[in-house]
Amino acid sequence: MPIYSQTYRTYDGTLRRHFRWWTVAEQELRLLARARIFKGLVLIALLHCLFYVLIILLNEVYRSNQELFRQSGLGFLTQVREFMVDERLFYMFLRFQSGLAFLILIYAGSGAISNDFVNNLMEVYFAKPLTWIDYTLGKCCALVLLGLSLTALPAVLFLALHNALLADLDQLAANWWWGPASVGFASAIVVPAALCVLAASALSRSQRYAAIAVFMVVIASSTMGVLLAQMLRDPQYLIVSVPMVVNRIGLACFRQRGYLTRIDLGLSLGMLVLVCVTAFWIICRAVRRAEVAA
Amino acid sequence: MIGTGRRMALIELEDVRVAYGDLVALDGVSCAIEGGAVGLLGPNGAGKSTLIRTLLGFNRASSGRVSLFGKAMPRHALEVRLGIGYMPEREVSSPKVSAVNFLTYCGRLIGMSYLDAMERAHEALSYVRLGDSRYRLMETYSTGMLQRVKLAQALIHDPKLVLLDEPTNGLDPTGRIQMLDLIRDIAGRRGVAVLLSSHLLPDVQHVCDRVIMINNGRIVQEGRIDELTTPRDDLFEVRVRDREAVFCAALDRAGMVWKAERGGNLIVSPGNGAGTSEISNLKSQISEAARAAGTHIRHFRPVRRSLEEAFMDAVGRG
Repeated sequence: MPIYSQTYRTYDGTLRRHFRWWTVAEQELRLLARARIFKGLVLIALLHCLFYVLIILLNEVYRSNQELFRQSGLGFLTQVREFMVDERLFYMFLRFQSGLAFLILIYAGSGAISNDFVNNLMEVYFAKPLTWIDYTLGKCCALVLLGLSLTALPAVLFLALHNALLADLDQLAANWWWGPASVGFASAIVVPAALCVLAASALSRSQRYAAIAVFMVVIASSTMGVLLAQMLRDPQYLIVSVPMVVNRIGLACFRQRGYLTRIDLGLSLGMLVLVCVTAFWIICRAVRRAEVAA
Repeated sequence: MIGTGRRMALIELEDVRVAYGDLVALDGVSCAIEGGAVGLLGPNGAGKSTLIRTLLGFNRASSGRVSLFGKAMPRHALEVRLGIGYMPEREVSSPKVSAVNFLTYCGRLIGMSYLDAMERAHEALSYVRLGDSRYRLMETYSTGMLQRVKLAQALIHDPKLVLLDEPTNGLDPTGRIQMLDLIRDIAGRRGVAVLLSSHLLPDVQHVCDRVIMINNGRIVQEGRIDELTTPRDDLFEVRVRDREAVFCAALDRAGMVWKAERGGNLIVSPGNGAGTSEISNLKSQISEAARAAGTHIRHFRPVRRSLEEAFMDAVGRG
């Protein structure tokens, strides 16, 4: 029967009882994939990735034609740190990508919950066999997966490409830890950002206000951290700034040195966990209230 | 209680109390609904929506027992919700997707596979007569189209019970009739139990055969509409063959009160302060007046109490 001539009839199919949270996450990503601004932002992020792919390829070309480069006067390229494939390259990639990922997460997440509230969709969703836990998990998963696919995934692929080009097991044994380090730093970038954006979205009834609120919190916390550290002449106060805490964890993951390594790592991790737990609690509370009103 | 008690009740409420802080929204509500189309009538703020939300498990009863399909709520909320379709009162829209995509998502939330959900979405949208506009983004829909989508999403999984909260809100007269016809079809031909909450009495009368009247969080009246609108023994609809003026004069002389209606009928009642004997003799007095006027009665029937009167009586008592 052609689909347009079908009408209401008894449903006799089977119903899946689990993984409804994945349906929520899938729908969220599906919706995002239709938005032009989102596509534009992702394209910029991909161009950034492409730039690093080129560096890795150039590095390999240089490595296999060193003599030729030296003769043509391009031997100085070995001195340019930015063109060397090492842990610092991965750290720098993630550090710059974090800004783009943050923007994309704000765009993607600021309306994720608030729009459902504004459009009265919560009542419809929760009248179906969907719990507030499924809903919360689905929304969080969508954003975290999106964020990791823009940060951790390219980093891991760069590592795979680099080792594939080297075809040297000794090198792989020496640099395998760049993979987990990338995932660790990417998680430190993505998870708090995703949860904070969703928390703002759960509290606000406007996508725009939620986005502005997250920006304000980030700017305010950074400013306050720098001011406190300067006034009290103690870099530990930079812990108030979430971006600096994230950066501190990135430095630790890739064994890099910098001004921020003066911040205590344990405190930084604690701060990040506190931010995540608080944001998650806000999301759970707001969403649960939509399912269990009184 | 609504129902005969022979079959298992779809909905059972026993001394249910729901409060929002200090405000008691439902107070000692008890009823049982077996099936068919049941209207939930009450003025604004009576507790109709709270009752529906309690059935869905959104509001938790502070005391009493709520069960649907024999399963206690909210403990078995997920199982129960598989058998319920809910059309909320407020406008629902997913602006950036089409109705087909929205319904497919709803179907998948219930647990259908993508293909099943897509197929069911088309079926439900065809049923509510949403044509090619189902492919347009929902932000372009009129109120009537959004109401149809709301109904379709409630039906997508073929529920045993549909809870409709003010389904004709914001609809023009034609849209309203179409919506009510759809609901009547669901309850009639499709055999789905319908609980229709409304403060519009004609809507309820158009669709339902039973009503529950609620006021100030309490059930004040319940039963079949034809039982609640029983014929009155103190009010008759009369039409005579000819000599209507003489007949009216005879009624006046007998101390009866009459009122001419459109269509040539007279509504006749005993005068003010009439006792029981006058009321019981009303039929013979009208016959006597016709005889005295030298005419014949062509139409004679007791006036039925309207649902509105029954409602006003009940709400007044509440």
